[in-house]
Amino acid sequence: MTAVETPPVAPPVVLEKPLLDVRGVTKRFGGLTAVDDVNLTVEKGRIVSVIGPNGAGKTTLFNMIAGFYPPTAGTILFADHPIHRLQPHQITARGIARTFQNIRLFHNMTVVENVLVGMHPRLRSSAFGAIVRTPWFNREERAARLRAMQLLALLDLSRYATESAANLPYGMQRRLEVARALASDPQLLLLDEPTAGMNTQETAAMMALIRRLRDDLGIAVLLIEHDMRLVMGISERVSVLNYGRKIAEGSPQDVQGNDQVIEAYLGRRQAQHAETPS
Amino acid sequence: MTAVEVADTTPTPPAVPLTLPEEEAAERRTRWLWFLGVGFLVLAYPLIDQALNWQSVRAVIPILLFVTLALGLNIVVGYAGLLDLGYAAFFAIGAYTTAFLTSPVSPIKLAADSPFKWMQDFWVAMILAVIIAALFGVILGAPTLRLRGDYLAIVTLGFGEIVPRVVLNLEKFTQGSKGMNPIGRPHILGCQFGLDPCVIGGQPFKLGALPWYYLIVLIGAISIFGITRLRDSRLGRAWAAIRDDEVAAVSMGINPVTTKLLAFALGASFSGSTGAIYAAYLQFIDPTQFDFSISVLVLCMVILGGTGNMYGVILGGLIISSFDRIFAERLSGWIRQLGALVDPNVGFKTKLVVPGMATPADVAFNLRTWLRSVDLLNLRLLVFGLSLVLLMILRPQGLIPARRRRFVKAPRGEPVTPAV
Repeated sequence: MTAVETPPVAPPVVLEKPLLDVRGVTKRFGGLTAVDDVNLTVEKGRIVSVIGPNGAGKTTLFNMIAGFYPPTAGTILFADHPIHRLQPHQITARGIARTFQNIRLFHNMTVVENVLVGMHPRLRSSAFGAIVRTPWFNREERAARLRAMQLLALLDLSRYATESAANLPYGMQRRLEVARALASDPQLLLLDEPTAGMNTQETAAMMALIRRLRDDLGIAVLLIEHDMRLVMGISERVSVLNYGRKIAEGSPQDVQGNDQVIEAYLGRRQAQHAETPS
Repeated sequence: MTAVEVADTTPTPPAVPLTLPEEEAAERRTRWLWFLGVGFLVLAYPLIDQALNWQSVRAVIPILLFVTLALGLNIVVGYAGLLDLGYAAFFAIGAYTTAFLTSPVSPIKLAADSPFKWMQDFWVAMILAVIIAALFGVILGAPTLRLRGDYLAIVTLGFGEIVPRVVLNLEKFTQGSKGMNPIGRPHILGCQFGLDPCVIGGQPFKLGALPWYYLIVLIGAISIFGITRLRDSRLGRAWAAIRDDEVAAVSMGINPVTTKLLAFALGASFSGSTGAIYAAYLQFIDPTQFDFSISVLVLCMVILGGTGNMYGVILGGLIISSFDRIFAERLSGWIRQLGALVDPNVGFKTKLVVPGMATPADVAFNLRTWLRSVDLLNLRLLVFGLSLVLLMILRPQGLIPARRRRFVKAPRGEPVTPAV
């Protein structure tokens, strides 16, 4: 568990242009304001976490970035282009991939086919090419399969390539979700509780993997997570949501000491208690 | 807890090779043997039929047409997971497009020297029928894309009802309930299908139903070939993904609109080509031939055989339509013969008469009458319904369920290294 305790790399002081720029985004469902005027940025090659109690609006925020809900107000820029009016599949094609909190694999497909589906926006073959089996189609398909197997090797799923995705144990299903998301060659990866239900060992492995994606592939990661050890261990910046509002933002150390955050998680009395230890 | 479940930071090369070459080669060999065997039987069937004097080629042609219909519906229902209860509408559109273009009773009257005369050729009409059916597939598909499951089924059901009704009421163009007859025939080497004797190179031939048989076999073979290749491509995977989980599919970058519309259009175009041949083969079409029961029949074929498995669907199509076209009639004949064996006088010889109840004589007589008038064709929907209920209890995945492919074709000899 040494990896967990390693302090994160301190962000350089130079102002970077954000890859993802969420500006004043609000989402109302009828009378309920799920996300209220939230600002958030993720720079290239950074790991940013969003934490908050259940129902704080984290997943709603994700769904807006991924294009599943249009924001009621505000804008979302990705690589300087507004994306909040785009459809989910267009957003994926632009380089944002996601995983789901409740695993959503294609259960009737094999493991490797799941990854091949993830490659969809990067493949160009047409129905005509598929029927005629043009040399170009064959080349692309071969390359796609090789790439899919490489991704499975990265997540240590190679030996299950031809298994049905439904037959994988839970932790591996989560890893397959990550492999499938990586297949679209994203610049930004949205991970919605990637270690939910995993044991300590599996969590540590997932953490190491997330760090490698950033270090070796330069992928920026936006993470929703409840596992504080994971969040504090790998994030360069943490944003805290409560009742749809961003109540704190900063380095893991800053956030851990923030009164409002402690209050949101523990309640008021305990928060005061924590302030004035008797 | 095995070592596998923990991803190491330094991934090991895959323990299992990508392909199991011997097993894959063996599977490919058996597949080729099947193809060759079945292909030979299919091609030689008319000769076998002639040799054994079965006289069944004429009955087999509609069966094969329905199998082709089922193959097309399997794309929509089996691959893309869109429940379509109005499939017969596209069949009707294909048939009526052909009739409209080629029939002398159609309102288009072209002079013999008209520059558009070529449009009245069967082959041209068939291609147009395919295109128009595909267009209607898109027209139906577009407004229903937001619907799923039951709701989509209801809309397609409505479409399936609308088309025959429009045909019935557009008398000016379709002759309404009078139907259209005759209809242009396919031809090859100047020889029209179904019109004997056929003169090729000064030699007269009697071909009977043979050209029809081989035409539909050709269409079926092209369909099987194309569908297999589509299934194993980017598009086929996108269909399967949408069927499994649309939300996940969309976030994988799959455009749900074009993917579903392509499924509708392809399914409809199969129906269109089949409709064109069906119309030319029967030489008479009217709206009653395309009602709801046809949609249900074709859907039954897909479900019975195994939704999503092409070979299953072919088997299901063969079973259901051969029951419909051949066995129901023969079985009815046998039951009627059985009825004739019941002796109505048997009751008079027994002394057992319970007051207030039917006498054995009555029972025997009624049984005889009933058995002798059995016509399973009237009961066909009951038989299909019962067989589907039984299927759902005994084998809900169909006779040959959709099977995941065990092997992945991976580049040979190239080592697989982790992506990072």
